[in-house]
Amino acid sequence: MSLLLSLAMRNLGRNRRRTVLTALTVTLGTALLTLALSMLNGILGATLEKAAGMAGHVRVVDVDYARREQLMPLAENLPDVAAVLAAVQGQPHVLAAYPHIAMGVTGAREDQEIGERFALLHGAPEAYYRDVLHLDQFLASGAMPTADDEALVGRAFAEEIEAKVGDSLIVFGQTQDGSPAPARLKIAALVDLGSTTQNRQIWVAMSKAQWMADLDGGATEVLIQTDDFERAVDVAAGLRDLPALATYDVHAWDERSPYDQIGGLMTAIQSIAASIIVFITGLGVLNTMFMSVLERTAEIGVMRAFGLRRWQTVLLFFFEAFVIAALGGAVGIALGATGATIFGRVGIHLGEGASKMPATIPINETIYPHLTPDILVTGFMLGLAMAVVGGFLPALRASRIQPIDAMRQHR
Amino acid sequence: MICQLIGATKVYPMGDLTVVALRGIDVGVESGEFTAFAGPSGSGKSTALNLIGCLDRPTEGRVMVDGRDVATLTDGALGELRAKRIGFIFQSFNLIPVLTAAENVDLALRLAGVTENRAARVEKSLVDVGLKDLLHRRPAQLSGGQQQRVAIARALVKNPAIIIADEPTANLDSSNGEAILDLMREMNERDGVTFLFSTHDPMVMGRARRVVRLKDGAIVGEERRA
Ligand SMILES: Nc1ncnc2c1ncn2[C@@H]1O[C@H](COP(=O)(O)OP(=O)(O)OP(=O)(O)O)[C@@H](O)[C@H]1O
Ligand SMILES: [Mg+2]
Repeated sequence: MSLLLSLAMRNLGRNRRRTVLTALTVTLGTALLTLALSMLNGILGATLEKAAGMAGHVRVVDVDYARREQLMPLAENLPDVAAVLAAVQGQPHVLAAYPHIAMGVTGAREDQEIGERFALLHGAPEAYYRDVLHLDQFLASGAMPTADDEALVGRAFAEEIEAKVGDSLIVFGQTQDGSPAPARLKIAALVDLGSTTQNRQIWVAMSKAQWMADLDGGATEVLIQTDDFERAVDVAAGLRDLPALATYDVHAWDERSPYDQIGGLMTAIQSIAASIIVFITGLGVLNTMFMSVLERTAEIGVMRAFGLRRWQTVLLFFFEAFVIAALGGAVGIALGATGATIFGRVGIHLGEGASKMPATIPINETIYPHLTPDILVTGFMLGLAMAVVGGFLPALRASRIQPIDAMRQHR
Repeated sequence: MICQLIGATKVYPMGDLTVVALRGIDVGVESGEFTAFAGPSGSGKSTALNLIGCLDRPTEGRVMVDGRDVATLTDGALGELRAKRIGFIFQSFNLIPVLTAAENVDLALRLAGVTENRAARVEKSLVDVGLKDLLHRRPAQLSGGQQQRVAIARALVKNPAIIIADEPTANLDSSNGEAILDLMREMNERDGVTFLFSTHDPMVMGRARRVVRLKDGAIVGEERRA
């Protein structure tokens, strides 16, 4: 074994340029891989954290609301929000809990006719807007509301109805029993969340939404923030056991549609991207390894004549491929990590496509790669996988070389 | 008898045709012989050596090495037999370019599974072939004659039953060729090493103690000298 390893090491020095080229192929592959995985992780992490925040790490709703939540049925509400809030506050890992009402509305500037302009209207405490949605950081113009009849309006909706800060706005929602519920709102600020769909929303004071929905003291949901959105499932399980919440639907964000699908989807995307890069890089390795094998036919034949076994021949070339991949991969993940860190600061602009994502999957137009130690390990391991992919066929070919090929060479 | 071909025939397929390289030859080699296969190009010298060296299997007939029928051995067992009992010297030297002279010789020992006393044995065989100052040179830093000496040391080091050399002097000039032959003969006389080689060079034939003449895949004559 040590014989094969030392032979492999020597062979690497033999055609330095080719060794370096092969290593560079792996370097490029792993660098690309590290960057790509960081980017996907950036999209995934930021998107999921935001989505989890918006959805509530853990959410308490009426059982029937959960069943028909696409329709946002105001009738299936939590009439006594205060009791729910009191029950969850102070529980382990719970940072805060907010009542929330969501309803579809149509709206127009006060001096215009109400047309087919739809928006999603939210009612929640101001703390939710600031601490969870961070809307104060996304104001395009204006300032956070100070009065109950002031609203934050998404920029896309504002543009559609040609309204600006200070204008008055009439919205039509409905009460919990289905009667029309008009309200007059003053635009305190325009909000730009980065995508058109997200910018077609309106945020009003909790009391305003309760009044519109005729839901005094109630809400459709209670959204709970925890100290770690990735462990929300455990927190939800704990809260579910509370007697006060026994009759409600209590679930973590990633137990609910559509987020329950995202984890698997992202893993699939990452696997596909990784496989493609590994495969292409493997082809590069394959090419140069094949040249080495063919060049060394006589030499392998000699060693076979002197007793080298077939499996040892395979190992010999595998070792070579592995060392190349390990060196190339180490440099590659270093480069990829550097790239990911730099782009992690300045961001990568994705273009308008991201704006067309539904509001429940809030992808930003600029993404920030997020590098984790996991990615470095994965990148390095996949670098070795490139060696396996690229080294397999040439090694197999080498093992077919017969002792007699040592004799035939000089023909 | 160390090695023996009994009615050995070798047929190579060549597209739709076949080439008969050996036509049922019988020949044996005793311990301590210094024997040459001679004959014109294409007469089957290399083919016969390859069979005796267990590098190839006959189409028909039998190959006996150490009293064992090679046909009964698996590829693995054959490899082991080769590693331990047969030494090879090639026309184009075929040293491993990334290894030094000493490492090339050592490689043969390691592949033969020898674990004891390797360094001393390597050095002794390189000294025997007159290369005691060039132990750590790589093949590229050696002349052709020196490379073939390393090859001889590599074949000798494991004390094989027989050393097979296919045209060992063909890539050397005549003085180097003679020196190599003298060296082989010296090893043969001093230590009783068995050599079987091929050539069409009269000088080389002149140094053999037994010459087996081949033509068109058949044995057409044999001479023995003192
Ligand atoms: N692998 C092969 N495939 C097809 N034909 C072969 C093969 N090896 C040898 N032959 C043929 O078998 C015959 C004997 O070849 P061999 O190499 O044994 O001759 P040789 O006496 O060693 O010749 P030379 O002096 O040129 O080395 C020749 O006609 C040759 O063309
Ligand atoms: Mg020949």
